[in-house]
Amino acid sequence: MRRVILVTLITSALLFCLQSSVGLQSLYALTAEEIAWEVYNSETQRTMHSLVKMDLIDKDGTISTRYVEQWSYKYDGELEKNVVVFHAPASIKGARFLQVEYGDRDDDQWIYLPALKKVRRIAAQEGGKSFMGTDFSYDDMKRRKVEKYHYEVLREEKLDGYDCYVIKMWAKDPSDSDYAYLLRWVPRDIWVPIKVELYNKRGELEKVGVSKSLKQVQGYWTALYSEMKNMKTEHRTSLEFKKLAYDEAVNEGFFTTQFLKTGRP
Amino acid sequence: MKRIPTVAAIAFFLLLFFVSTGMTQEDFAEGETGTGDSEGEFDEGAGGDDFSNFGDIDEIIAEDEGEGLSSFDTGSDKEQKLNIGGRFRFDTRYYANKDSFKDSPVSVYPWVTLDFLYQNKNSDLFLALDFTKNILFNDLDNIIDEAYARLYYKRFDLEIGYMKVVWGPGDETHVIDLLTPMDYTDFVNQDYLDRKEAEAIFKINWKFTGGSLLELVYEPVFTPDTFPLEGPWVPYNLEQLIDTLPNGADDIIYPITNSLEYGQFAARWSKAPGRLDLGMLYYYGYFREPSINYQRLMLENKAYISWDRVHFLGGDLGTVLWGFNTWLEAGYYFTEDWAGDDPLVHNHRLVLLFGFDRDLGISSLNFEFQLRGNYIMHSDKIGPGDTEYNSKGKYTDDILILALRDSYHRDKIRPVVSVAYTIEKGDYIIWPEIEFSLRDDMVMSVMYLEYGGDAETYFGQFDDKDFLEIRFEYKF
Repeated sequence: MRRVILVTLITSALLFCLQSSVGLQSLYALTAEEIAWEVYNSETQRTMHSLVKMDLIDKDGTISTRYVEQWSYKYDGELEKNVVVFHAPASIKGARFLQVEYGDRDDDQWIYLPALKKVRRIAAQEGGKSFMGTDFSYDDMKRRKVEKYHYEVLREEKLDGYDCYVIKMWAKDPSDSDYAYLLRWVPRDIWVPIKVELYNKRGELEKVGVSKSLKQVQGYWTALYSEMKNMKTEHRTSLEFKKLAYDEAVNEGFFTTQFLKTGRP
Repeated sequence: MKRIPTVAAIAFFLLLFFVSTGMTQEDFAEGETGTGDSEGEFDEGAGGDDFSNFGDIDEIIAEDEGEGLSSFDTGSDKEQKLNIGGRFRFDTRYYANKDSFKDSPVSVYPWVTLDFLYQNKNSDLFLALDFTKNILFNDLDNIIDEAYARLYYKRFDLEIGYMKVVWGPGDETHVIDLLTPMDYTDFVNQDYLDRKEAEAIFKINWKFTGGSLLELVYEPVFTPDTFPLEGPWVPYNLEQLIDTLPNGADDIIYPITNSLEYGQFAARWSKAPGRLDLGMLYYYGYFREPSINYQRLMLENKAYISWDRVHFLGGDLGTVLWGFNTWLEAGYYFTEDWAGDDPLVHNHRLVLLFGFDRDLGISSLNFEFQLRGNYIMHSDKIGPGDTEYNSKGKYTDDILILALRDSYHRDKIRPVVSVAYTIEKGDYIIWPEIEFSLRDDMVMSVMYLEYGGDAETYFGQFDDKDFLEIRFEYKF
């Protein structure tokens, strides 16, 4: 009898450990990769037009403000074209940036500087550079392609009232990312990450991004306020949507180098 | 050769004719604003609330900032807008007097520019005024820095007025940027656009599907480059010439270039098909280096200046190769001196610019390399008395331009060290500079310039003009 009880206990313990060692995926309805695809596919809008206020905040509280207007447009399935126009401050007013995604090669990027009256290419490898002096890099501003990363669900966690999956993601090819890995807090059924931790190649926490004010705009869940903080310098950059419209007709002429020069499609 | 200008002019007008007769009423349709607000394209149900209604961007920003408007509606039509901006700059230069430091000359340059941009639904009007002290007191004719209108149609834009146009992907230096003159009165003004002068231009920018653009240009007059005739920046050759003339600069005789004869034409096709930005251009106009008739100079003690008619064929390319931003400009000047033996006319010339830059992956370090080449053809036919004669027989110029840049504190501190070196003649200029962003719109920079080389060389002619400059610039 004792032997039966002991065997039963050991078998139960083994089953429990086996279940745990398979990973928490078996405890959730979705795998880590499926969650990543839900996040990626949550951006199903064909076009987006936004006016964003960016505040660059020093650790002493000094604020520098930028206003940028952005258009994005999906072409050829899931590939995107983005154009950004800087409206303020005066030192960068009139600067314009264009990015065209490709599936089989690096993105094309150009920047127009009114002081030079010239359009200049930017190498995609410069993705790790700060975007116009903010705490976001050029890569941070882009959607990360799902197939280029590994994923793992670490746990579930409640954050800001949302039940979230905590996902770890890391690039399959280390040269594709400036980070060793990222942690994302993804609210179930909303699929817009509300927190991200970015770890550098030394494994140190480099930046923390949080998104707040999740609202449905024209049926799409959108974080109307986001903030990225550099943990080393304690400098923060906040992004706040002042205007936002999805799925409006957008002239393809916006996504040309001629638009960068003239400001007209 | 004489047939070529006629053929070229006919070809240009034929091109203009076929382009214009191929146009339909649809081409003259007003350009789209692109926000989908034209009838039938905007889904009212997709988002008609105030959050998705953009309206006037500048008004939104001004209201958000709680400040007075920097732009305002000029009428009941909300699409009319007038923007006012500009710059205030204050430069102080300390010229190094190596014998007596306390006697080092100091120059002060206050400078104000005002820009007006009036935007209508399908047109822009741009006016830039230049209020430097020199212009206000000596050169009021040049108070207008630019003044032009741009009209937007469905397939093309029309630009008319007095404007600066920049062609070529080079960084602050070009070899195919031919349309407008340069102002060399302040030789070391590092700002390429500030050194350019506007020109009267009629321009059509014809947009094709696939991202190509055809620019057709007519310039009714020719304005030569501006060189100072007195002061620290008079070029060595010009200074030598003035010294030989009995009445100095008054004995330099210029032709009248605002006549029909001095009209110029140009066409440029460009395309960004993906990996490559490509451009090709043709220019029929004048070579900007003046020719001097040395025979008449010897006989009459007067320097008769002329500008040579040229046909110019050129091209440019920009791409990214293995992480290197790379660019190339190239062109060939066809003058009337095909044999190279006419002392009154410049020989044919090949010009090249090759450059690249790349982030080094350390801090924000960026290294830039440019090589600008200038090659005079048939130089073996050039002898004393020729307008291009060089006593040392140097008829090629390769200028190497290097720059190393970095930035700190989110671009608030930007140091750069630049060097330009002429390979054949050994003259050079070195200028380290550091720029501080004091506030969003206020920048301070400290720069030192060091010249070196022989007196008759491009940089060496200013060997005794080394200086330290402190600049404040405020943009609004």
